[in-house]
Amino acid sequence: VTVNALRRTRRWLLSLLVALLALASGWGNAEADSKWALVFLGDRVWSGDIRAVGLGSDMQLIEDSLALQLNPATTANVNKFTFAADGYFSSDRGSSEEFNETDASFTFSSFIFAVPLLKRLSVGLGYRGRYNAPSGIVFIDETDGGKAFGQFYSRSGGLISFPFLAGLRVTSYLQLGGTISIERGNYENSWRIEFQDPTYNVALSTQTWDMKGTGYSAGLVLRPPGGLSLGVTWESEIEYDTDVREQFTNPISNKKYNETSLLPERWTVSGLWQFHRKLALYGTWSYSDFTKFSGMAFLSDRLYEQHFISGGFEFLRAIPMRKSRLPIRLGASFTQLPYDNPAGTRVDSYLVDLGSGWISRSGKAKIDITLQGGVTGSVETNGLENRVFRIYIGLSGAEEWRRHKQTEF
Amino acid sequence: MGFNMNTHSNRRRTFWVVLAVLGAALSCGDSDDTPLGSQFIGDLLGSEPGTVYEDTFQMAGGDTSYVFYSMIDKQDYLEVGQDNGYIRTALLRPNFSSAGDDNLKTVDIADLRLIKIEIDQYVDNVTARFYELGQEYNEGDSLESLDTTFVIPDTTGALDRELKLFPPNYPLPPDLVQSWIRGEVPANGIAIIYGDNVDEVFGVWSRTGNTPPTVQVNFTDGSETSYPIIADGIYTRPTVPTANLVISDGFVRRIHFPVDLSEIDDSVAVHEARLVLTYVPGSLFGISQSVLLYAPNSSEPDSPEFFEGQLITQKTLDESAGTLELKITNVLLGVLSGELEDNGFVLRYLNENSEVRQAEFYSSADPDRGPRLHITFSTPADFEE
Repeated sequence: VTVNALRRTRRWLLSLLVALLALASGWGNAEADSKWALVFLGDRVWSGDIRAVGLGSDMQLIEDSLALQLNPATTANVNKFTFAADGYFSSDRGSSEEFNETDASFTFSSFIFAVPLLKRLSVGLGYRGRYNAPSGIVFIDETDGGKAFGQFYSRSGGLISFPFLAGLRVTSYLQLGGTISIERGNYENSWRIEFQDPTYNVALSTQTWDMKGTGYSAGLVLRPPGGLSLGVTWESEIEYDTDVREQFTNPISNKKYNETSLLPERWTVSGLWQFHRKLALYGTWSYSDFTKFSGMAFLSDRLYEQHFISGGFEFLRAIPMRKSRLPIRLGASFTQLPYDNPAGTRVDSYLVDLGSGWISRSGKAKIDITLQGGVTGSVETNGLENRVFRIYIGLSGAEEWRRHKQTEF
Repeated sequence: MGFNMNTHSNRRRTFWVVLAVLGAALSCGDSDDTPLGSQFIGDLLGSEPGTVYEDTFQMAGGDTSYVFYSMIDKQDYLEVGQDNGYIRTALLRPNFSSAGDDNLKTVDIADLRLIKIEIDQYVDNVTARFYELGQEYNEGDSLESLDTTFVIPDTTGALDRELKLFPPNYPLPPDLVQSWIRGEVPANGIAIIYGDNVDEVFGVWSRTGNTPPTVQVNFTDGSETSYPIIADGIYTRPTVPTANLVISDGFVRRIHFPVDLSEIDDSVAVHEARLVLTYVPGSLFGISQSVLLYAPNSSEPDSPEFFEGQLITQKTLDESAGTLELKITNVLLGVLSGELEDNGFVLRYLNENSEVRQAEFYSSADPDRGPRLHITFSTPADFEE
């Protein structure tokens, strides 16, 4: 008994350590430095899970604990105290025919605690934080007197969300869930004019947004016999109360004001067909009407409905490794962005994903990896395009999951 | 003055093109990750950078050299003569407060004892006259002019004296000195005024020098007393007027530059600003040429606040450069932002009242070579609300 107690204590300490590490990777950035403009339009705080990314993203029917935040109805799967934490960093290098290189990176951290409250009712508390590191551009120019200077634009920002989840297993085939989330955001948008001559003073103009809002979501999961599953999630619009602060090198222009920003609601539908013990197909469609978006000086006549479609395939025991076999995941997604490019043409984005993962024998830790490549826009249609290549690595720790429900790796 | 606002249409076009490319370049492709959304923040980024301007304009006028009648009174030397267009007059005030019983005695012989400084820059002898000052001289006094009504002749009645290395004693009338000792006539001081019109300077040790001047008195009872000099200084005046802007020491002049910023928007950021002055060739002389520019707390030279303010910059004058450029970047930003009062700028010598020196600059009356303000500034970024 003593040995078991010690092991349990050790497991909890390990879990706590993982949670703290995950929080440390994202919390500070998201809250303290968090700046936001780069990702606001169309960007809710992503319910991230590397396995879901490998299956095309936004997949809400996989049974990893972090995926609970994709659809609150899956919270009903929790039948003992469950914990998971995750944190990762992503760096994107973009390029086009007209532009050399840019880097855009972000950090993301997530955790969730969930516990069965009643026989069929489970509840959870989560955290998602995302921070986009400063990225930007510079325009080189010179004065009439030949003094070279650069106009540096930089923006960064982040969102954090604290969802309170509840999931109810209505029947063996139906689960319902809901979420109330506290949403916070902060971003910084800055221009810096700097001369090549270091004796010249730098001019800085900074706009900072501090945003507060509340979000709601509801979801259901249908698991009829035959290997088919269906998930539906509704995420409410979020009205952000925003304090805007503008500060300049010459403080005479400093000002503060308040604005309201409205992020439209989103619907997501996912399907899973496990047609073989080791093979499964996934599909997701999400919709958000961005013509209802408002705030942050966006031009409403250039906003559109956004559709996101993704599909994924998972071969659960594909790659032999020691005494285990690792899965292979393939995914692809298509998005028509909810705004056009400066020339007035719509912008399409295509992504493909390849992923795998490893789970410990005890089931208390897992590593997922996903490679993602794609293109946004096209030179022919939009006059520009951007190629994306990403490597996602996720490390999760979790207290014992429902073993009979655990996905077999 | 007027700004030549640059035409930025081409740059602006380039800006939008590059920006459009950027939007895609930053794209991450994920449906939730939409940096291209930034294109909608005010057409693209939701903001526009400030516009940079660079311009030079003439000072509108009002640049003036103000005179402050202080004197060189902390040096180890006193000078008599003229050079580089300035006449030097030595002032000395003897102190007879320690006379004691001497005021009961009769003065037999009295001399002013001055010890020449033997260095090359001083001539061996000059002609001068001693004058009794009409008002008491104290170090730190500002004397706009000298009261030279009463000449002090030597014992022979001669008005002109020859200052020379030896003998170092210059006779004073015994009755005058006796009246000073007895307090019958106030010992206001003695002015030694150069009596020729040649560029030459004679130097003697001051009361803080190696061999201070004294008044040596021999009384009829055979006793002798040496009375010290309690205050001395060099009274300096220019020999010729000038229409140029002058900064000088000895005869202290400071240049005040009022700056009209009405055509610059208050909200701009100043990247670099210079006040540019053009030297009048051949006008600079003096050993130490360190100057400083400050923003006075008052634009009125009669106000004590004119002498207080914020230091802007220090420079060493170099006439061979042709122009003097003084950085005023930060203080100009302070004025524009309202943190500093717009009282213009003042150029003065560092450590005034230390030596005879000067430099002249062309004034705003000369449109080609007058003071100019060169400024590079930018408007603030425009964040759309």
